[in-house]
Amino acid sequence: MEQNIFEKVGKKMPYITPEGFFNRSEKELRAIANHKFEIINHKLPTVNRRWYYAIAASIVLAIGIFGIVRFSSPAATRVEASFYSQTYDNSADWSDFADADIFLDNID
Amino acid sequence: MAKIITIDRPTAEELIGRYHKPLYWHIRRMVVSHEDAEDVLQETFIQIFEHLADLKDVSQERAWVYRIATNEALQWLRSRHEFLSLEDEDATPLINTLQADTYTDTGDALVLLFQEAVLTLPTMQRTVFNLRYYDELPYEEIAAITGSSVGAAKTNYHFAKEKISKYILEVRG
Repeated sequence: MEQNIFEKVGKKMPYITPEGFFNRSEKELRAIANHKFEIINHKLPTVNRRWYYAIAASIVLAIGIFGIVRFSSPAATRVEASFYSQTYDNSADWSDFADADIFLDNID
Repeated sequence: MAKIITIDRPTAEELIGRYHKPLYWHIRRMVVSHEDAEDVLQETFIQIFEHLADLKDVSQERAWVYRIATNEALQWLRSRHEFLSLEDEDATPLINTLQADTYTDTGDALVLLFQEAVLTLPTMQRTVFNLRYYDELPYEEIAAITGSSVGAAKTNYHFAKEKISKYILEVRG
């Protein structure tokens, strides 16, 4: 009798599903999976993120050190000041030649 | 901060394609209601996606996903205070759900009675019976899914079949 019952019923069950359920459900699960996957694509793994931060910090530090050295050195300031004064403040140089006659008279 | 889930697309696609229907039916046989089974199925796959990195032996993949599905179904049942453990034996609420659910086919009386008999089983026996009878899983995997031994799984299946037969005989006369 026991074997007859299991043979008669087989694998049948009284459970049914709404029409199109499995297609819809599968699409929803894929959407969930895609959303989880996009989270991975938009975020750097923790280990690589540290490297990027380290490289960026090194670049900023290098620029900062270069800038400090370049624009705060006393020697560099005097040289530049002298250069600019020679270029644009040359009235003293030409004062000796203001009078062209004197210049020509001085030539042997 | 959004949680990072270390899973790539092909793996997720494969899992969905491979286990979508089997897990739905396994969950449905446990929670009975279609709408509840749909909710538990989604939670199950979310857990699968989130914890896939924890699966160390890919050969145990099927037992692993079935175990997650079983745990999610049991958790859902416990949340409704209808079952406290796998050894709980009160199946009245589930039988009532079976008879009242919109997505229950009552056309075949013997099939309906058979399922009622299954629902009268203690939760552990019912789980083992479903996994062996409907899913045709080997006892080794059933033991891994239910956290028991192979011998216990075989014993549970044997007694489950006896109880089902006895229930049907008593009801039908």
